[in-house]
Amino acid sequence: MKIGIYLGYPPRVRLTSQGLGRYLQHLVKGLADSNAVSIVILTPSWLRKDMPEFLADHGLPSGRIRFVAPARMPMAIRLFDLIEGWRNRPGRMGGLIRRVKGALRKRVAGARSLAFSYVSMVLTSRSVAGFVVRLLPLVALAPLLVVAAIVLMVPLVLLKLALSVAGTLRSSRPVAWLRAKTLPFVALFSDLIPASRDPLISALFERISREESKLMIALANREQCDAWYAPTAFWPEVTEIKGNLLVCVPDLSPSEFPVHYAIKYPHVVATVERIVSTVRRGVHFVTYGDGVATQTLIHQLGVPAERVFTVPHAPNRLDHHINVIGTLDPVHAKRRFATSLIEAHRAVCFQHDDYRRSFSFSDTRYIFYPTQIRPNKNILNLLLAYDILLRKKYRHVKLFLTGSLRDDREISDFISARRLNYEVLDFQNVSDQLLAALYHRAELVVNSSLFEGGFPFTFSEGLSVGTPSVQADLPEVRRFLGDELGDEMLFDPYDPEHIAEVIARGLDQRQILLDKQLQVLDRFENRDWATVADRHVDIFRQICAQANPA
Amino acid sequence: MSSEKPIRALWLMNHSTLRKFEVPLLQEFGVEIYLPKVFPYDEGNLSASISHECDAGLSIPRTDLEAMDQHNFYTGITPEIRQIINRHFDLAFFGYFPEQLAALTRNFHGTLVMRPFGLSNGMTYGAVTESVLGHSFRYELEKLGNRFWFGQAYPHLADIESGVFRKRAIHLPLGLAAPDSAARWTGGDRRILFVCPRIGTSPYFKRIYLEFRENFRDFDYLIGGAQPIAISDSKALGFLSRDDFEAVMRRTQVMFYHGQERNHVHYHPFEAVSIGMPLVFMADGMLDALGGRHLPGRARTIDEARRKIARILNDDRGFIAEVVGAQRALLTSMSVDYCRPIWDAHFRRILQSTGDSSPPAASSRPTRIAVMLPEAYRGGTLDVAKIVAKMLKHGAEERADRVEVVFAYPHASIYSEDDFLDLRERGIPLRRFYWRSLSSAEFDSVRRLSLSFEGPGSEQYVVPDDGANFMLDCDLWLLATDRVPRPIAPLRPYILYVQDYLQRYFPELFGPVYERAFIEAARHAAAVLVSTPHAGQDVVQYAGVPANRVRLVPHVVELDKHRGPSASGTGDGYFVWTTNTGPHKKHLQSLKAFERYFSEVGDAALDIHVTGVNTRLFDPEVECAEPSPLVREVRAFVGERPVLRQRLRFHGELDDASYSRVIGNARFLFHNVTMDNGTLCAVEAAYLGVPTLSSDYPPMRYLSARYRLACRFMHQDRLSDVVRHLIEATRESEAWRRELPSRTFLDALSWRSVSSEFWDVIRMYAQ
Repeated sequence: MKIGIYLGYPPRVRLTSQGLGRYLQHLVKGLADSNAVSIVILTPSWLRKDMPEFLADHGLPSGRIRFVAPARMPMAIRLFDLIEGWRNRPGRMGGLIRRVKGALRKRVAGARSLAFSYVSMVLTSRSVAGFVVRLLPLVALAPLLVVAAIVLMVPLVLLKLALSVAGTLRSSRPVAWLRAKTLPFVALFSDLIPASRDPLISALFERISREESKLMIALANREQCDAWYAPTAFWPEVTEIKGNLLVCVPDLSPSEFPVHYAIKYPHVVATVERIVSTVRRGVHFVTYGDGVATQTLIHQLGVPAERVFTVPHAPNRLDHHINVIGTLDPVHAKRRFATSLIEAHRAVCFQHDDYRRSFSFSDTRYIFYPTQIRPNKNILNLLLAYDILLRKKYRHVKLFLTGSLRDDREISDFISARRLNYEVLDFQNVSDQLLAALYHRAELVVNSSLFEGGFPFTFSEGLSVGTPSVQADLPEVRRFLGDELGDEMLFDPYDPEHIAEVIARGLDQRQILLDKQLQVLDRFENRDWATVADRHVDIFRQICAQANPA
Repeated sequence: MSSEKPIRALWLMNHSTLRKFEVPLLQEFGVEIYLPKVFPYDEGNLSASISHECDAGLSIPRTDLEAMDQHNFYTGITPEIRQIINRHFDLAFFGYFPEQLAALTRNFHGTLVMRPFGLSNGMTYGAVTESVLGHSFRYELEKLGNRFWFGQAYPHLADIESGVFRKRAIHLPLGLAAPDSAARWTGGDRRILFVCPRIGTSPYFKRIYLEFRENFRDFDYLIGGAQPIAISDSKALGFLSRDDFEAVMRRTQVMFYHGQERNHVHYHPFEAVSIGMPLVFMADGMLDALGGRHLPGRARTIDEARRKIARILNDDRGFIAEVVGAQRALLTSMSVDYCRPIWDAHFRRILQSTGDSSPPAASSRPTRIAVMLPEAYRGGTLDVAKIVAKMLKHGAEERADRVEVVFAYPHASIYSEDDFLDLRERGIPLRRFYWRSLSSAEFDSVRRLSLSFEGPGSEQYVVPDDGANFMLDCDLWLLATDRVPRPIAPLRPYILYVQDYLQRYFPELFGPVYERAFIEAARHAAAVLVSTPHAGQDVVQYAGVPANRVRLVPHVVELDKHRGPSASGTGDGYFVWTTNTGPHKKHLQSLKAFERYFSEVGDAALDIHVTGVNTRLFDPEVECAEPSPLVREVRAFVGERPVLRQRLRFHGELDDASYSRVIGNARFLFHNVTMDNGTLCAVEAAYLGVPTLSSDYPPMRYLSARYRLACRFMHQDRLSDVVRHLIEATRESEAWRRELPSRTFLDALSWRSVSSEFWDVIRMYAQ
C-alpha cells in the first residue's frame, strides 16, 4: 500500500519536536517501520531540505520513504534565505562591525593620548620661549583642526537625526496600532513558530503558500497513492487531491472557548474557518480522542459517524534524553545532569533577568506545567491555586511553565498583583532534552487544561522520567483512568481550592502517587507508536475498500 | 610538622592515568598517600576510578581510614573527617572542583596543593572561582598564605591569573607513565580514531563532534570516549575498558586530535604517541608548546589534516614512519626523566613551606568576627543579634579557639547605652556604623588597591563605615538580618543570618517593589544561617541559594532576664496579645475575634493586655500625631467599640521586669500573624509558666515542637476558629498550663547551652 502524507506548512515555519511536530515524527516512524506501506511525503519546496532532517532525528529507516516537493523555490523565499543566511553568517557583518568599532576606539584612544602628551609638553615648559615654541604647531594647525571637526561632526549629527526620526516613526501611533493588531498572526494551536510576524510578510507568505499548494496538489495527483493523510486540518486545499483522504483533527479548542478566543485571539477565527472548510470538504477523519470525534465532528459539524475514526496516541517517553549510562549511581547522575541542563539554560537565557540570572536551580523544588499559554490551559485558576498552595498551605515549591507569561496581559497582571514574579517562572524555547530535565526535576507535573483532544501527553512524559502528575478531571482522562486514581490525581479545574488541595496531597504523597501511576503507565505502554501506525494502516485499508468495493 | 611522623598526603583525585604517574613519584619522595574511594558519579566522571593501592602503606588507624573511605571529598568535609585529616595529614593534592577547594580551605590545616590542568581559552581559575564561590572567597584563600600552592601542570598557566593563583604558582609537570603493555601500534583498520566523549551531554563536545563529522564526512572513522547519553551514531564506541581502548588504538590506522586550546590538552594524543600510533593534530593548540610545532603530523588547516590522514589511511609507509618517528618528541616533557627533577625540586619547596612555622601576617592575631545589625531594629531582632555575638564568644571559648567578637549596630537614636550593657559585661566591644555607598568607579579603585582579587565589573555596592577602616580589621562579617540597602562590597567573606522572607507570604509588605539587595545578599554570602527549617527552605526556594550553603543553627532565646519566680496561680483575669505595628500581624482579624469573644463569653471573658513595640499607639486615648493607615484603622476600630475600649489595655514596649510580670500573670499568650520566623515571646511565656495560642504556620509549629510549648493553633483565615480557640483557652488555661515544659528543660536549650554547637557551624569560615 502506498500512503502519501501531505504537509502544507507555510514558509519560514520552524519545525519543533513539540505537539504536532512530535506526533508527526512518531507516526511517520511507526508507519515507516511497518512493512505494510511505502510512504511519500509531500512538502512545499521550502521544506525539501529540512523535513527529511527533522524526521531523521527519530532514526527513520531510509529507503521506505520518498520525499516529494515542487522543484523550485519561489524567488521571495530564496531572497529571505539569502538575507537570513547572510545575517547569521558567523564572523561576517558582526565581525566587520566589531573590527571597525575596535579600530575606531583604538584611534580615538590614541588621539587622546597624543593630545594629552602634547598639552603636557606645552604646560611643562620652564621658559616663555620654550612655551611659545611648543605652542606654535597648535596655532599653525588650528584652522585645519576646525575644518576637520566640522567635516566629522556634520555626518554624525545627520545620522543621529535620521535615527531619531526613524525611532519616532517606528513607535508612531498608526504603525504601533497596525503592529498590535497584526502581531498575533500566528498559527495558535499548531505548535509551530512562525519566523516572521510582520503582517505584510505574513500576507505575502500566505499568497505564496496558495500558489505552492496548487503545484503540490498536481504532484500529489501524479503520485497515485492508495490514500493520502494530512496530520492537521489547517490545509483545506488537501481535499483537492484526487483519491482517498484521511485528515487528522487534533481538536477545535477555540470553538470550546469562543469568548476567550474572540477577545484575545480574533485572528483564530480564520484558522477555525479553514479547519471547518477542510472538514466540510473532506471525507474521512481521525481524532486522538472520542470527545473531538463525537462532540466536534459528528455533533457540531455533522460528519457521518462512519467517516470518523479515533486513534488514541501512544505515550511519549523522554527518558532517553537524560538517562546516564555507565555510571555507578545512575539516579544521582541523572539528577545532576538534569540540573546542569537547567543551569545551562539559565546561563544562556536568563542573563537579563536580575532574579534568575544568579538563581541556583540545584535544589529548587517546583511543580511543572509544560504548556503554551492558551485559553483552554486554565492558567489563571492554576495561579490562584498556586497562591493558595504557597501562602495558605505553605508548600515550598515554585511553579514553572514553558509558555511566555508576558504574552498574556491578564496573566502577567495577576502575577504582578499577587507578587508572584519570583515564584512563577517560564522557560521558553526548550529543547527535548531540557524538557526531559525539567520534567525530571519537578516534584509534580500539573496539567490544569479545561479541554484536550486526547489524554494529555504530560502524564506519560512526566512518568517516563519519574515524575507523577495531577491533572484536571476531564472526560478524556476519566475515560482512560476510570475511577482508578481519580480522587488522588484529578481536580476540578474550576475550583482553585481543590486544585491546591490535590497538588498539596500529591506533594505530600509523591512516592505513593508515583508507584500507582507507574502501574497505569504499564497499561498505557501496551499501546506504542507501532500500534498507532498499524491502526492507521487499518483505517487506510478500510477507506480504500469503501472507495473500491470488491 | 613533626619529624617523627611520616609525611602524609591526601591525593584527592580519581583520574586513572594521572594517578599512575604521580602517586609512585610521591611515594618515591617518602610520602604516604591516601586515595579517595568516593567520587561524583555523574556524567562527567565516567572514566574515573578508585584504587586501594596505597591503603596498606598508610600508617593511620584503620577506623579512620574506613571513615575517610566512606566520605565524598568532592562535596564537602564533615566535622568528623575534618578531625581525622587534620590529625594525620600534612598535604592535600586536589584537582579543580570549586566546592572541594572551598571545603579544604575552610577545614584543612595542612598545605593545599591545587592541581590546575588548564581551562578553555579565555577562562581563568580566578574568574571561575569567584563566579562559583563568590568574590570574597579570594580573601579566604589569601589568608592561607604559605599553605596554598597553585601546582600548575604546565608552567605558563599562571601567566593569565592574578592574586594568589599567580603568586603561589609552582610547576608540577603533568607526566605520563610508561604503558603497562609493551604491545605497539600495528594499524590495519583503515579508519580514523577520533576521541570525543559526552556528545549527548556537553554542547562543547557536541559542537566538536559535528564539526569533525562535517569535516571528515567522506572518511571512515570511529568515535572513542564514553557516551553517557546514548547517541544515534553506530560509529560511536562508547565507554571501553582501558585494555579495550588500547586495543582499538593499536589497530586503528590514525588518531586525529582537534584541540586548539592554548592551556589545555587531553591525555589521549599522548597515549597514542606512546604506543607508536600516528597522530594528526591541529596547529596552534597546546601540542605546539609541547614540541609539536615542527612535527609532520601537525596540520594548519582541515584540508591539510585531511590530506595527511588520507596518506596514512592509504598506508603510505614512508609518511607513517616519518610521523611516528618525529612525534615521540611530544612525550619528552611528559616523561619521568624530564618530570622527576622538577617535581623533586618543587616538592621540596612545598615541604619547606609546610614546615615553615611563620604564619602569614593576617593570622598572627586571633580571628576577628564582626556581628552586625544591618538596620536599626529593637525587639526580637536586636535580641537575636546580641545573642549571636554572645554565643560566638562563649562557643569559641568553650572550644578553646582564639576569636575576638565585636558588635556593630547602626547609628540611630533608638538605642541607649543600656541596650548593650550585657555585651560590654562579656567583653564584646561595640561599634556604630552606617552603610556607605560605593560607586562602580570607587569600587573599581578599591579592587585595584586591594591587589588581591579581580572582582566583579560595574556594580554599585555598600560598605559598612565604622569611622575607622570600614570593618576591614575583621576577618568575617556576620550580618544578623538581610536588610541591606544594596549588595555588599565583596571585601570580606560574610555570613548572613536570615530571619524570614515575610514578603513571600505577605505580598502587601513590599507591594510591587522587588528586594534585589536582600536576595543578592543571600546569594553572595559564604553561608546563610537560619533557625527554622521553614526559613531554610525559603532561602533555597525564594532567594535561590544552593542548599549546601544554608546552615540550620540552634534556635535560641534570651531567658536570663526572666529568672524570677514563675507565676504559680491561675493568673489574673487577662491574657496577653503580643504584637506590634507590623502589617502582617492581623490586627483587624484579632480585634473582630475579640469583639465576638466578649459577646459570646460575657462576664467570664478575660481582659486583654497588649504588649509590643509601639502598641501604645493603638490606644485611641493616647495622642498620636501622624498615625500610619494601619494604626489609624486599629484606633478607629477600637474607638468605635466600647467593649474593646474598656477591656483592652495597651502597654507598648515594656522593660524586662515589667514584661516578665505582665506575661507571668497572664492566663495565656495570644499570637496572631500571617508569617514570621516564630515568636520568641512564646518561649519566654512558657518559661514564665504561660501557654500560647498562635496562628498556624510552620515556624511556630517548629518552635512548639523544639521547646515543647504545647501551643494551640488557630486556622489562619477562619475568624470563627480564632473565637472558638479563645473561648476554649479561657476555659482550659489551668489544665493547659500543666502541659508546659519545665524551666530546666528550657534552660538546656538556652543560648549558653548551645553556644558551642553554634560556634561549630561558624568556625570553618573563621579559620
